[in-house]
Order: sequence, then structure tokens, then C-alpha cells
Amino acid sequence: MNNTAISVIKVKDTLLVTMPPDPDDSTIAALQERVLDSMDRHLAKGLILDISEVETLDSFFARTVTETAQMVMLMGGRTIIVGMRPAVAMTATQMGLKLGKIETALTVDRALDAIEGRPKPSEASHR
Amino acid sequence: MAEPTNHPFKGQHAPEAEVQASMFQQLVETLRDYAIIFLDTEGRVLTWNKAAERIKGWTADEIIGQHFSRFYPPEDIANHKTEMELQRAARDGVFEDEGWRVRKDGKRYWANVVITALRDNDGKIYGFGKVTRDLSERRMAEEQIKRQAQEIFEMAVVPVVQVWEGIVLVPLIGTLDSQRTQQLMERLLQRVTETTSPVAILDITGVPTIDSQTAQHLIETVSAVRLLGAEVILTGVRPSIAQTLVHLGIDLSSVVTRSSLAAGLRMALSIVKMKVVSAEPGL
Amino acid sequence: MTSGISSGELQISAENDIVMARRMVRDAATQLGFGVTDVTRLVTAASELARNVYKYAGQGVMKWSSMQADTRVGLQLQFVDQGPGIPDVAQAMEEGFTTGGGLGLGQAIVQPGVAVARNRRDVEHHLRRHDGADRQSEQLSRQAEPRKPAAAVRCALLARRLVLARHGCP
Repeated sequence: MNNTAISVIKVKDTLLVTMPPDPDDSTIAALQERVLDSMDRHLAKGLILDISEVETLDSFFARTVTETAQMVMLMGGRTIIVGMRPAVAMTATQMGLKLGKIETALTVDRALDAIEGRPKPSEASHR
Repeated sequence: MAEPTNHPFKGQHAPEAEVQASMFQQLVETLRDYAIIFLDTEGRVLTWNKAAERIKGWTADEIIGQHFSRFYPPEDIANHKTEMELQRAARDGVFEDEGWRVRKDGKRYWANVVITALRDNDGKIYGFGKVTRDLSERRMAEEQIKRQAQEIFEMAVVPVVQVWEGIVLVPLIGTLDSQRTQQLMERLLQRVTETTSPVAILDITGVPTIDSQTAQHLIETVSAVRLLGAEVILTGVRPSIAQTLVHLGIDLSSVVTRSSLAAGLRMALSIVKMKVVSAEPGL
Repeated sequence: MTSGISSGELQISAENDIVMARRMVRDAATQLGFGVTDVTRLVTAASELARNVYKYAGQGVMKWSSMQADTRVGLQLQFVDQGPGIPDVAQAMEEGFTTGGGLGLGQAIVQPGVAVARNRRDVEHHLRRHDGADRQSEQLSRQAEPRKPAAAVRCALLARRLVLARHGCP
């Protein structure tokens, strides 16, 4: 696996980064490089990290993500993690993985809404 | 009576075996569900029948001469289980066991096994008879019933209900041991993901007492749901429970609570207008 | 690397072996019939321990095998360092986890269904228990097993076992 396994797309002013299912250590390390590089180039408002394909989140991955979010913050951006799988969330919680003050959202849409600051459509969901 | 030509123990001092052997031979061949084989004193396969081929996978050509430990899973071989079985059969005359066996393709099946020590007229062991029955189907049926009963039970005690678009409710009843917490977390997280519900309400009105273990499990559940990107509201905290929690020194300050389910629902409705949640996992 | 249906060995000597370790454990656990949550636990734990072996010892091996006690089936993972040794075992294990104390990782891994055991007897003991591992009871001491009896803080040999047990059959 290499640098190109991570997909980085720019949506409006937000970076959308999608992680592959089982990234090796160098791919995870490359995440940080790619993000910082792209943030710099596109002057993005924030980063959405899509981990819906990720099956294993260990301490190394968690640490890299936390650090990346801190760096993004220093560059004036906001990081939101999307799509964590139930089994991953359970394992992370029970193992006590340090994820710091990281923001999460259930869908990319909602994360985009949050970062782009779009006013929410009123949810007329009363039935 | 036909002279048995392929009696495995021909030439031994087998008592009356000649007479019974041919009838036995026919029986062995026609039985579908009983793998009946003979082993030599070392445990090597001497004979094979149709059922053995069906149940275990090997043909007679492939298996005769091999040691019967081929049928056992690696952990049993490491434990010298086959030696133990032959010893017991030798000592007691018969050995019966239920356990995992392995087919030729490596697949496991649950088997009932009876090993009989065969003695000649002098009382010396000249081999072993082994009857194996594949209980997989029976076991699968039993497991199926157990699973269904379990599911029904789980639904009753860990119900996860969609009460509104975007709001999932869990009316908890009873205490939360490790196993129930497992079930709760799995079902709740799954539902939240499937429905992308931004809010989950955990109502503990039906939880009579709370100990530090249950409180810890509750906190874990809340953390996990927040990691997904949904918020959790804890409702139904009775005064006695609040007291216990304080006495236990349990810090639930990071958890959003509301006194009643109604209050919780009201808050949930206002949250569904906000979609991104700040999560603080790793509590 | 050798592998059978649910037993095998994997040499850990390169960074990519960490991924291999995850894949092997995923395959073994799935074949034994563990559910997705338990598989994830095992794989994550294996990832941590394999990385520890690579990062701190440089060289080691992961062995896995299935175990059985009564009607329960378990998967045993064993990580053995073959390198120069880990200067501070406890510290190495605690990086990245909020739960401190004990073996760090050992306690962090302890959760319903996963037990960290020191020896085979413990492993079988855990397999027989109904409710999986009870978090409170897995207080492992800080000492890892030194290769040389006279060794003090530096631990040349670390054998850590993870067993995940569950009811029923594959």
C-alpha cells in the first residue's frame, strides 16, 4: 500500500479524505503528510476523515489521527471523523484508546454542513 | 452361512467371530449414519464403511493405514487425546465421548464416539472398534432454538426502538452485566449506524439498582455511541440511583441527563436539528 | 510463515508484518466463528502486540492456535520477542492508552470476552468461565517473564497470550 491508497477530494472549502480498509503503517503516516499538504494548498476550512471502510483502529492509527486533527486546528481548520464502525467504536472504547477531543459525525453530509456552516433545513419530522 | 472373506481380524483367536462376522459386515455396510471402523492396537485404521466416508470425507483407499488422530482437531492431538481414548477403552472395555472431530476438508463437526476394545479368547487386545455419529444436525437444531430463544430474550430485555426519525430509544430493564452490555452496545451502535440517528436516549427507569460495574458499562456505552457521531441522553435517573452514584464516586458529569423521558425526548428533538456532535471518547 | 486452518506462525521482522498479523488473526478468528465485534477486538489487540514486537524488539514471532475446553472454543495468540529486548515493558505497553497500571495494554485489552493470561492453565481457566473475562479480576503483575532468571529490569523475553473465548461452536 502507498500514498495513493488515501483519497483526498476537495468539496467546496473542505477536504474529504477517505481511508482504505486496512491501511498499513506507512499509509497511515502518509495521511498526515497528505492532509497538511492539501490544507496548505487549498486553504481548506476543515477536514472530513471518512473511516467507514476501516476495520481496525489501533493506538497507532488513533494517535496519528489525533495529531493530524491538532495540526489542522493549528492551521485554523476543523476535523470531523465520519463513519466509524460499531465494532471499531466498541473496541476503541473498551480498550481506552485516546482520541482526544475529536469531533465525529454519522455522515459526510452532516460533517460538511457543520464545517461549511450551512444553515440546517428545519427537520419537519414529527409524525 | 457365507464365509467372511474380509473379516479384519481373520486369523486371530476371535471368539465365534466367523459366524457373526458376515451378518455384522452387512449391517456395517448398510448403516448410513454410523461410521463403523476398526483400528489396530496402535490406532491405525484397518477398515472403513460407507458412512465413515460420508461423515469423515476420506475414501477407504485414502485412509486405511493412517492413524485415527487424523480425525481430531489440532488441540486434541496436542493434548494426546487419542492415546487417552485408547487407554480408557482398554482399561474399561469401552470409551464414549462427544466432541469435535475434523473431516478431510478440515471442517469441524460435533460427534458422538464409542470405542470398544476387542479381546481374543486369551483376553489380549487385538484391536479397537470405533463407532462415530455425526451430531452436527442435531446440534445445529439445538443451537438454532437456543439462538432464537436468546434473540427473543434479548429483544425483551435490550430493546432498541426508533421513536422518531433520528431518535433511538433504549428502555433498559434490570442491571447491566458484561454480557448484557455487549448485547446492548452491539444492538444500539448498529441501529444508530443503520438509521444515522443523531440521538440515542438511554432510559434507566427500569434499572432498580446501580453498582459501579453497571455505571461503568453505561459510561462505556455512552462513549461508544458518541464515537459514532451521535449524542446520548440519559433519562430516568431515580433519586436513589443518583444517591448511589454519588456515594460510589462515579463521575457522570460528561453524560447528558434529563430527569424524565419526556424531558429527554424534548431535548432529543432539538438535537436532531444539529447534526455534528463533539465526542469525548476514552473515558 | 506457516498456517493451518486455525493455527500457525508468523515471523515479525518488517513493518508490513503488522498488517499480515492482522490478516492472519482476522482469518483465524472468522473461521472459528467469532462475531464481528470479537474479531475486531482480537485483530486490534494483535495489531498492538505485533507492532510492539516490531518497534521495540525488532524481531519476533506471532503464534496462533485454537483451543477448546468443554463446549467452548477459543483462539490463542502468543507473541514472542526475539530481539534485543524491551527496556521498559510497562511503558511500551501503555503508550496510547488511557488505562495505566499493570501491563497497561494487558488491562486495556481486558474487556468482556478477552482475557490476558500468563500461562496455559490460566488460558484454560478463562475458557471455562461463563461470562468471559471479568475486568476487575484481571490484575496482572508488572513483571514480564525474563529470559535469564537473574535479569532485572530489562526483559529479554516476553510471551504474552491473548485468548478470546466464547460459547458454542463454529
